[in-house]
Amino acid sequence: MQSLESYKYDRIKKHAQFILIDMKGNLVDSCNSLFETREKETEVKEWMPLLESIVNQVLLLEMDSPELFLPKIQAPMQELKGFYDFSFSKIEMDERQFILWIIYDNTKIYKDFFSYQQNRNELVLKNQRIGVIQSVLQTKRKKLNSQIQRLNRFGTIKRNYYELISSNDQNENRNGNTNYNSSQVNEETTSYITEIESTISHLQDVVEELVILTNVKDISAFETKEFQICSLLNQIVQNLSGDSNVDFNIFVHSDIPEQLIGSYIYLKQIIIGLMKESYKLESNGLIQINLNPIKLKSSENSLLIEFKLSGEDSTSRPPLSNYVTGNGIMNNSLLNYGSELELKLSIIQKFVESHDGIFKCESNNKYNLLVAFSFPYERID
Amino acid sequence: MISKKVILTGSFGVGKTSLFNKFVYSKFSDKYLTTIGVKVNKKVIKVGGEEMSILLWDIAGEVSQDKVPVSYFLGASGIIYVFDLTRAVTTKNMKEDIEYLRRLLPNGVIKIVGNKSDLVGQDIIEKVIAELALPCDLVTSAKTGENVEELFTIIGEELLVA
Repeated sequence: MQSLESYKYDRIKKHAQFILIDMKGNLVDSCNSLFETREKETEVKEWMPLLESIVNQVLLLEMDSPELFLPKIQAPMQELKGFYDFSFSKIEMDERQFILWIIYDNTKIYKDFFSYQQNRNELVLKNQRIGVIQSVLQTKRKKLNSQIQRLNRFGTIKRNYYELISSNDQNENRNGNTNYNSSQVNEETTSYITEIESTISHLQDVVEELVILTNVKDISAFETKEFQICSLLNQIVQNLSGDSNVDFNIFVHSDIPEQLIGSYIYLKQIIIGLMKESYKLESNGLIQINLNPIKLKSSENSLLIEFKLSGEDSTSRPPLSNYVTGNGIMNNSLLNYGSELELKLSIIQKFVESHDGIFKCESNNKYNLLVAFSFPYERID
Repeated sequence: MISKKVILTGSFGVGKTSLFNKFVYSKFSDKYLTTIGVKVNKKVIKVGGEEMSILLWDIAGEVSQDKVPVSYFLGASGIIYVFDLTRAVTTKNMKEDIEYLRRLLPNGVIKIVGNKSDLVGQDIIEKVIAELALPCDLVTSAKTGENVEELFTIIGEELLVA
């Protein structure tokens, strides 16, 4: 029979801790090489939830039972923050029976294993995810194409109807039948058809936009990465500004970290969308972009990104509608859009809300405009 | 107080650790961090007017359950088998996995859970569930918290009478 001292000696050498437990689950002895046990409760199950859940089974081990081995235990208690292997076996010393619990500290080995597994799994997940996205997009495109075809058919039917009316009108004129004002009917019908055709074209744009956004939503859920938010904003401003006379001013609150982790593609897509709309509204004025921290239940860290359009060149465009400037945009569905701007803002709103974010849109005088949305991120520790 | 050991298992990347963190710490992160072995923590829940300590084991995801060390299942009363609603591959071995787990825990409560419901629409959820080899007990989202508390209440209630 091996002595208690020789057990201790062997184990201490191997970055391990040897703990002896009596058959009631109480601490008898420990070499304390990894953590101090003297201040701890006598009952070992109180030390960590892992022991609490298996101690009854451990105490049932027999002298001839094989060693119970629990590998790769991550941070089992406050004093043990790495990776460990636990081994339990029943032993006999000085005619008494004990449970010998050995903790092997394999943090270094398992950290390397962790890095390897992390990289491998991330790659596999990314490939699987791309496969899913492609399949979903294919189905969506098929559905959307069929809807577009239906809309086109509807347009053709109306156009045929118009031609029929027009032809009837000419016949009736030839027959001298003037009981109704046919030219008025034609005018209304023409206007109606033009509206329908414009709506079809508009809907096609919407559909395309939604396809892109759906795609981005799916990818962005997995594609969080480390990036500099100011660089992103500056890069977009530079790429889109061209020959524009619009000035940009970017303010970043000091509480917002320079480098952060978040859904980069998602944020980029929204900012590009808002920038494009801003250029349509503003040709000479100032666009102020503010980044401030915001507290949201859905995320530990969030920032509020504000786009403020001064509206200085307001004479060159009509005033914004109540839909944009009032509360309508917060409550109306996508189908209630009016102008292209309202439509784009509605899409961005849906997009932000689908990521548990908040979106707002305000104007004091129907020319200036504030569009703001939240963006969740993680700090780099 | 009653204590019950419950194991979260399933393929890798299905969101076991996210469910664990949401349930124990009410936290969620989009960042994927692999689990290489096991993490254990506990939370007290109220079940049928009684307090129950759920000792939750979050174990490393394996494509097949027979690769998980058998010692992890020692003393377990319940198993939550998690799959990813957005990755069909995580349901591929479901039938064999559940049969294997039932052999390990003949009297244990086993729940099949589809996670990441926030990433897919209701139509896709219904389609995925309809194609499963075994019935799905619950659909969850660790991100939004949908059905996370409910999952542990349901399993707690069944463990109380098991």
